Amino acid sequence: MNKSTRILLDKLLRHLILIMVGIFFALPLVWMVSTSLKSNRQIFVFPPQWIPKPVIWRNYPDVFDYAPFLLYFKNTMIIEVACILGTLLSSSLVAYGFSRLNAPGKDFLFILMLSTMMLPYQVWMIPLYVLFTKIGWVNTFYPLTIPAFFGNALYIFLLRQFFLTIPKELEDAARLDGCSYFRIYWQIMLPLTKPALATVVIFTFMGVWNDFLGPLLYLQEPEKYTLAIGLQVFLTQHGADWGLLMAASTMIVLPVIVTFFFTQKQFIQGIVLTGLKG
Amino acid sequence: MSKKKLTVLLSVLCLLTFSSVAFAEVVTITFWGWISPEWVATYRDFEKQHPNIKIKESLVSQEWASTSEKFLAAMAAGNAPDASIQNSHQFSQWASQGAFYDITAFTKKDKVLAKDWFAPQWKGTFFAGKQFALPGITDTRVLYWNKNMFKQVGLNPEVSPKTWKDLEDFSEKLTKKDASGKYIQFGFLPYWGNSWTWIYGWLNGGRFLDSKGKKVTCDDPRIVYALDWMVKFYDKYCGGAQVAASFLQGFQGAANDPFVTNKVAMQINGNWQLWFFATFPQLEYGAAPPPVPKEGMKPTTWSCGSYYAISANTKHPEEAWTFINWLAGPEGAKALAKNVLEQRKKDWQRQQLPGEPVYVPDLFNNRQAMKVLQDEYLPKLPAKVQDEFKLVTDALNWTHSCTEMGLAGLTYWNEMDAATQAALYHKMSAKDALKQCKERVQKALDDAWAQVKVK
Amino acid sequence: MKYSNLKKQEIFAFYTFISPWLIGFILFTGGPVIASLYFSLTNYTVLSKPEFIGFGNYSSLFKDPLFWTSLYNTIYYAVFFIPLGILIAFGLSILLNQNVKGLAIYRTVYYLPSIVPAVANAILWIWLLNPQWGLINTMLKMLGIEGPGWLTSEQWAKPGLILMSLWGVGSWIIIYLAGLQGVPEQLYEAAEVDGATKLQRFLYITIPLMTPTIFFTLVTGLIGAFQVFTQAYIMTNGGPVNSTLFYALYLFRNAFNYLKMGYASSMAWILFLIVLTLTLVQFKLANKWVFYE
Repeated sequence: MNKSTRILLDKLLRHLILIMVGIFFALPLVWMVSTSLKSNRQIFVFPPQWIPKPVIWRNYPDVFDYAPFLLYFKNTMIIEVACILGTLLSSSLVAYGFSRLNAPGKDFLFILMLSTMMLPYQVWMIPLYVLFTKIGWVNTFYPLTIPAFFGNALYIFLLRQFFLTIPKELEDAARLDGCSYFRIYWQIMLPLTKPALATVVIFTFMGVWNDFLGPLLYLQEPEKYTLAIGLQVFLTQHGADWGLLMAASTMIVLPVIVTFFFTQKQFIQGIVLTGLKG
Repeated sequence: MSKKKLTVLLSVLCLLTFSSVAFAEVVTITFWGWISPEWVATYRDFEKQHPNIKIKESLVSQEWASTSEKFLAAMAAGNAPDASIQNSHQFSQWASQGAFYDITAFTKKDKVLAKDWFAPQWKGTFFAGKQFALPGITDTRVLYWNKNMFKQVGLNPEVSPKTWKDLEDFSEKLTKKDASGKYIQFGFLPYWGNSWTWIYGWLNGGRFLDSKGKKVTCDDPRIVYALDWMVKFYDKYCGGAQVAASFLQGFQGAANDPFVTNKVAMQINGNWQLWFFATFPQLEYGAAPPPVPKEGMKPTTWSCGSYYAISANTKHPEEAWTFINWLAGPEGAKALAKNVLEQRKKDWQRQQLPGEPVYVPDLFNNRQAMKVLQDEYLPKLPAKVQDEFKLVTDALNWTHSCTEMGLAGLTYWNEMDAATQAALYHKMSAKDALKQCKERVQKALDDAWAQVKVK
Repeated sequence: MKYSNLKKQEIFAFYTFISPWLIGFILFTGGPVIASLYFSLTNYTVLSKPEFIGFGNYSSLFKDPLFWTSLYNTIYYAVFFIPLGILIAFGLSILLNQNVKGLAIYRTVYYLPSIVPAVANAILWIWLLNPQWGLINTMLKMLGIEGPGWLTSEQWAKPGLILMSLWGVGSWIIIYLAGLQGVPEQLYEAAEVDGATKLQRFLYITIPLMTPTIFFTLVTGLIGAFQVFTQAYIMTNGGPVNSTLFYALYLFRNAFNYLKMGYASSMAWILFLIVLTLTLVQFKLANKWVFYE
């Protein structure tokens, strides 16, 4: 077998695995879309009928009769923009501190920061709620947005890992040139870790998009609801209206998927320069 | 009276009336409950009938059966809503903590009396002699049997099983295996549907708690007998609990429901199945009281449901009371029924289902509300469904309530489920499993009583 | 200790840079966390004031069989899920990294289960794991293996949930891909020029340079695995026979269903200590295998 055949087979095998796994991973989305076009009686038929008969297109426009989803979309986007900006800015600043700057107490503080992820949220969410009540932030967007400007432990850790892989020589050279720490952060660290920053953006986005408990606790008025809460409108004491729920979910999910797909370029660029350049 | 005096008097009267109307305060109360369209429309209907009260509704929690983290958090922070929907299951424990407003004075003033309500859920609204909620919508469980499957195996489709022995005998005929020995059809699955172990214990005359609600008695021999019967039933007629569970795994309900698709012939399930079955016109089924262990015993069942409660620190108890009294009573029932039916009609159209939607009303605990719903909607139902509806409604007279699970109701529920599974999967004998359940629940119950705040 | 001016500058810069997190911790996190520590020493129903009982909750916990069961279930889950998840995510990332065509589609598709509502995943997996007709057992049957009862079986429910969790590795794939993008092309080229095989390039360039990212997923994966909750809550409710009663689920029940927030808090702090210890161990070991540059 000559080299080109081997390469071809290699490529084919790789594609085969990737495609098969891909189909498997795509199943929930396919099920969602399929369910969104079915009448409730057909939804749980097994083996699943992937193509609905009849196709209930009306599920989609009717969703808007149940709740002002466009308003919920707007609310969600307001929170998104605030959170993404806040998280990106604060988490990267803190991550730079933990990665490249040394000071007494650094290790302790780093572990302390990680520790905040280790205590299950259920046992401190109520005192946090009481705190927010005392400062009058309940029934506003503040509890869902302001904390983002104070860093997120998970993303601080992630960015710290990426910052640590940037060659120290770059920084040392910049310091010799008289660069302030901030300039190093802004002009060296950030541009060289674009894929990691994009990752933080995506994860933050998904976190806010799907967050149910936060809005449930802190938003009392329907006018302030986000999409995640909006979906609850399909839940009655008789159970959920699956067709409508999936139609709404699909409409909520598709823009995310499409945006994610088209912003992939950010992930592909950003190759680190090496210190070999002297 | 001189003309002048009359004019003055009339003017003063007008002014007074006008000013009282103009200055009539519009009070806004917050209510945490359901936010689906039929409920929202019902809140608006209330506002139309009571122009001086506005309802600000908000979602109470994500799931029906679970507790509301949101409500708990709000209680801790001191900004609980004026009124809310509560799950009757854990209500007494929450009431014992002083979460709710004592409405005893209101019920006396407005003559809201016990005799106007079905007893089991009504009793659960009391704690330490005080009343803390009005019962809203409830449910009952009955036996359903699939007449088509009965006919298929030569059983008389009009004769339902009356005793546990009937369940066994009928299952003998109804359970089928295929050539490879795999089960393809079952007669009855005791722990499937919505019966749980509770119904079998109660059907056999057992008690789960002593009369004071302080001692756990799930090791009562009558309950042990019931669980034991369930285990033996699974082993003899279903190939064991795990086989049955595997069989049921993929069925998530709706059109795939094993009862509807002729896979399981009999089930004990809730009254909500009536409107679900109505969407399958080809299904021929019957409803009857749950079978009793031995001939001559009286059938019973159990109910759970929602309560409407006013929060303890509300600033508007009067208006909140007016609202929950309305919501739980005939006016609220009428409004909700009308709104549900409207929503149902829209669903029917959207999903392109044939004919008109069959509307089987919810079960309200208020007797007058139930009567109003029956008078209006019963005649519109097909004759067969009318009989079934009468059965599930009548069951309210001989039902147990989930509030009988006591102050540690949710612990009892989870531990009972664990004990049943342990017995069904042969990890422990029924007797030992229930004994272990008793120990664990007793501890939780003791703790719950030790922490009671309302005396 | 006297610090040079330069050093003082660095210390000042450090604290300035981490100030957002530090301030946030003091403002928003510190108080509630300390409150929960206090609650763990009380009986607290949340509906009324907490009652101090000292270490009563902790001693009750150690005598509570469900504490041990739930801890075992969670450790079982973590032990299998973390290595499997990392291996699969890493493997798929390597495959994807060499194939730029269609990368965007694949990355999107693999991340889908994390985007789609949890309930959709839950229903699908109940079908996939159906012992009689599910895809998994059907495939096993083709290989001549009689598939287990999965979510209906005491022994196989946890493996079933672990399988399902592996679906969520999309986020790890994204992280690994970001890390792989950061490996300089020049290193590969130089190595190829020196005659290194593909395998050698993989073992001596890729893996070492990926260790920071792998370490990240290991640490955060462990923290997350010990708090596994959602699938058991939606799909099995802890069953059958408490085999999927995970620690976080039992904690949740105590906190919100049984009105035992004090007891739940003590559970939380025990978990915290366990995870903190394991994380510290990981950081210590990291010096041996994580290579930063």
